[in-house]
Amino acid sequence: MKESRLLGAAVVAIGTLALFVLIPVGIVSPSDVPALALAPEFWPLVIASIFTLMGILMTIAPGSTDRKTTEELRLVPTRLPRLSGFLAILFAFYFVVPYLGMILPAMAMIIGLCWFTGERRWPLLILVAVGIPLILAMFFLFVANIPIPLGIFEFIYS
Amino acid sequence: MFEQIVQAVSLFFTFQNVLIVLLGVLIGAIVGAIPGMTTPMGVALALPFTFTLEPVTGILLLLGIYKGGLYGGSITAILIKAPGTPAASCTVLDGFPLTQKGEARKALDMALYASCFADFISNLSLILLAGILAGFALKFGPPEFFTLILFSLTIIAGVSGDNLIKGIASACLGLMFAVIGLDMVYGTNRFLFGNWNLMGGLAFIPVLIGLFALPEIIHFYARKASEQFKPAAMSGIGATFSDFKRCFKSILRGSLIGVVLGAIPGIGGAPSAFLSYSEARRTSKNQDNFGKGELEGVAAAEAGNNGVAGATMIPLLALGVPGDVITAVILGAFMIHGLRPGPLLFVENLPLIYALFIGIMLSSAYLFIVGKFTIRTISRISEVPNTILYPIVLVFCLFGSFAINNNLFDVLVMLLMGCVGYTMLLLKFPAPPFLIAFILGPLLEDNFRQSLILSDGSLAILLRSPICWFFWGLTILSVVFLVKSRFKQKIPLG
Repeated sequence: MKESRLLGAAVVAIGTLALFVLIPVGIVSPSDVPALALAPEFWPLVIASIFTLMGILMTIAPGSTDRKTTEELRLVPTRLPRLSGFLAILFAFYFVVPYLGMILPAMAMIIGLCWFTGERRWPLLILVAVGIPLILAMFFLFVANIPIPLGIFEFIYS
Repeated sequence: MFEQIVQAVSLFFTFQNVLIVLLGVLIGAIVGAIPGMTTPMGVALALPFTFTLEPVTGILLLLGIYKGGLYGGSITAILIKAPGTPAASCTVLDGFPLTQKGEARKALDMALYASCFADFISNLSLILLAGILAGFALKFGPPEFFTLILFSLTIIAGVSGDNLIKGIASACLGLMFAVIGLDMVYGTNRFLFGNWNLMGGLAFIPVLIGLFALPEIIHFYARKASEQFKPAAMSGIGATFSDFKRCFKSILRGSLIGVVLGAIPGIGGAPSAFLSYSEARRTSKNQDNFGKGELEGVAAAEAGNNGVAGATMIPLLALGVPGDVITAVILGAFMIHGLRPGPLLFVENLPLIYALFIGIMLSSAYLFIVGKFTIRTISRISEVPNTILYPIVLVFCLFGSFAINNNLFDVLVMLLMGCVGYTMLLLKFPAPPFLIAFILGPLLEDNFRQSLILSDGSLAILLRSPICWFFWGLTILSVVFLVKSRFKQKIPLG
């Protein structure tokens, strides 16, 4: 119940932020709009207002279903290091692609993630880690004609 | 008409199309059979691979996955009590007890027969009804479309699960994310904040993959890896013709229930499966055996579940309105291929529609073939450990997101949407309303503003015709019905 109220308050805060900061700052509106409903910010204002209203409703009438939240779906503190580690790997992939291409980081990521979850069947692991990114890259390069960044595997294309 | 059918036949009957439907059904059945993988996830991951295909081929691949996934979900429901789709949860009731009794094969066979029959009936209804509805919808202008899409947004209630308020809040987020980009009337910036990658708005595929595939994967790595289910052996003998005959009434009834409920946007497979099941139970001679391993229960649940598959395409093709979350994804696929489902598609591109119909009918036959001959293999695929499966799926997500525009920014969008989706998962905000609102939002706003431009800013145009009145009435009725039924069942709104 308390959690639901807090969540409602957070929704209200986000809605208010959208109404009073994000929309006025983030939407450019021309000065000669004939009707308010035609203005570029009209629709976002309506949406943000409904969102805020939902937050208010969550605060004043917290749902009983939230009590059923199981351990399975809670972010317990012991899971934070695993979660942060995984997200770090994901975003690291994004940042290294301009330098290394997509294939090598994808291979490293597969090996890293499999190892992370206790997978130690190395022949299978290497087969999957090398095979999947290469097959995908080949598909996009030669079937779909989409230039996937290859990095050190540039020779495939040449 | 005849000429268009001939065109459709020549459009469809290529080696590639005939094969791609089979491939789609096979992929869908595999995806549905793997616990932790969902059909929307499968469709989302396959979407980037359709870019270079012909529109008919690409859409048929996705439709095949949809249909295969509906059936595949029942395999794990019967063998390991883990429904692959929400709709298959009804199949568990009698399917798993049958497995425990050593009659898994009979249950799987009956699920297959009921699925194929219901799918066929559903496809037939699509072919017969979509054109009529589209003909009616040709009279629609922007105000009519606005009221129709507004009514369609009541789908959100159907996909919000137990928490309607969170469902509406989730839809608001989807609508807000859909606003990002250039304003379609004045061309001014909306939420760009200096990032020109956002000028065209957020691409659909990274948002879709981020919302539907990534949260499950993040969740898997955030908790300790769970033990893999070991499917039960496919024991016992298969279902016979007399079994099918005994269950036929329930299968036919379930198929029709599926058609009716599937054609109404937002209801989907699960309520249809449960309604079909309860009707079968109510009228069965073996009433007491339901829930303890009654073959008729499996048949009714699967018929109700698969009866919606073709019918959800009726509002999509005829009106451009998705019937559920998967057809919302398929709507996105149409748009990616430069097609806009709705009445005009029937006027401008009828051979394509007919070609899709041919492919959809073929998918029913393929479903039978795939189910009959590959079920043993598919049930073994569900043994693939998640420790290997999820890194592979993740690499598919990353490559697929990049491929949409050859732009690394889309990968970032996918990753960020994954974080949003995971947060929503933890906070129990349902993701389907977000996606449906993200897709329908621009259409709603576009038609609303076009209407106002037509009327020089007067809102009265939104009540200009009986069609508008009809959809306003339906919207009000569905909201009243929804609130009333939630109070009656004591389901809290929030």
